[in-house]
Amino acid sequence: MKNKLWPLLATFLVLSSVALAASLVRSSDGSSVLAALKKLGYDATLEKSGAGVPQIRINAANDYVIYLYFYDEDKHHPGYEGLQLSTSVSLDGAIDLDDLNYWNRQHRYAKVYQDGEDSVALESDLDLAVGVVLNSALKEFMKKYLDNLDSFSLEIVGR
Amino acid sequence: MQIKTLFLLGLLLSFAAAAQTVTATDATQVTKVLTAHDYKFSLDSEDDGTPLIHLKIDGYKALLLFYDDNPDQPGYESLQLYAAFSVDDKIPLGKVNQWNSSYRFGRVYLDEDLDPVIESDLDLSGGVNLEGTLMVFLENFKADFASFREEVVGEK
Repeated sequence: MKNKLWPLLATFLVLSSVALAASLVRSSDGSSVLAALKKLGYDATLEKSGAGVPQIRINAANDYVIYLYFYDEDKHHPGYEGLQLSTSVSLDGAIDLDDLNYWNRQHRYAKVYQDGEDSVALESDLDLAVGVVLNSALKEFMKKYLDNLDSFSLEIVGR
Repeated sequence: MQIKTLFLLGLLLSFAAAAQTVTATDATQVTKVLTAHDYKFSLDSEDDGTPLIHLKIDGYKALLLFYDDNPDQPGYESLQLYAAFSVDDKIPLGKVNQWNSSYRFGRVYLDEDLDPVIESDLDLSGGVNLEGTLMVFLENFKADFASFREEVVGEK
């Protein structure tokens, strides 16, 4: 009995280990990322930029819109190696660069900057080229971004 | 016996491949990768025992910091690269803002002493290939660091 189970167990472990290693991706595309986001429960829509590059619109709490942009860092390989989450908000009052600097000093994973005369942006990047597990990497990427969006909203936007 | 040996070898190889996917790391794993890629560094620790690596990037001092984001799990779930310059002349925040709006991955700010700082974070908790991740993380930082020195610090 012991001798019969050994090869079965070994085969199972080999296959599951190979599957785990193979689940690493180094690039992705609009449909795969959209499917992963929807699976995570996000209200997301796939769009295309003027240049035909996919981008995903995510409706977040408090009427915030997050855009997920795709970057084709390596033209020799298929897919997009870089992802970026970005939210731009117009402010009524004057923008104080000291406030943005203080925010950048206090937070990790994202940065804020003035992206127009009366608007500020929150931005965060994820490099897939390193080899990531797409679904869980997106889950953590979104989680950390939403945490930062909360403090961006409170400390910069004042909502 | 031979079949068993083959299975065992396959198992070990498969586990080695799977083991490349990590959700946390430690100083031993990181220094091993840095050594393999000829980085000059020294391992240190913070007052609370958290590891800290002093690195040289393009001949400049930088730090690799470890963050234990999830104390319930072993290891450190995220890393941060950090470099700061001490400057005599005040750097306008407009320059800092311009850098932040132009570059990806890194984040630049003026610290309490108004000295310019560049930071970049790496989250491992979603599952990554450690060696590939660290190398790309360092390469991205290297590129950001060069533009930071030129455009924010004003290095000639």
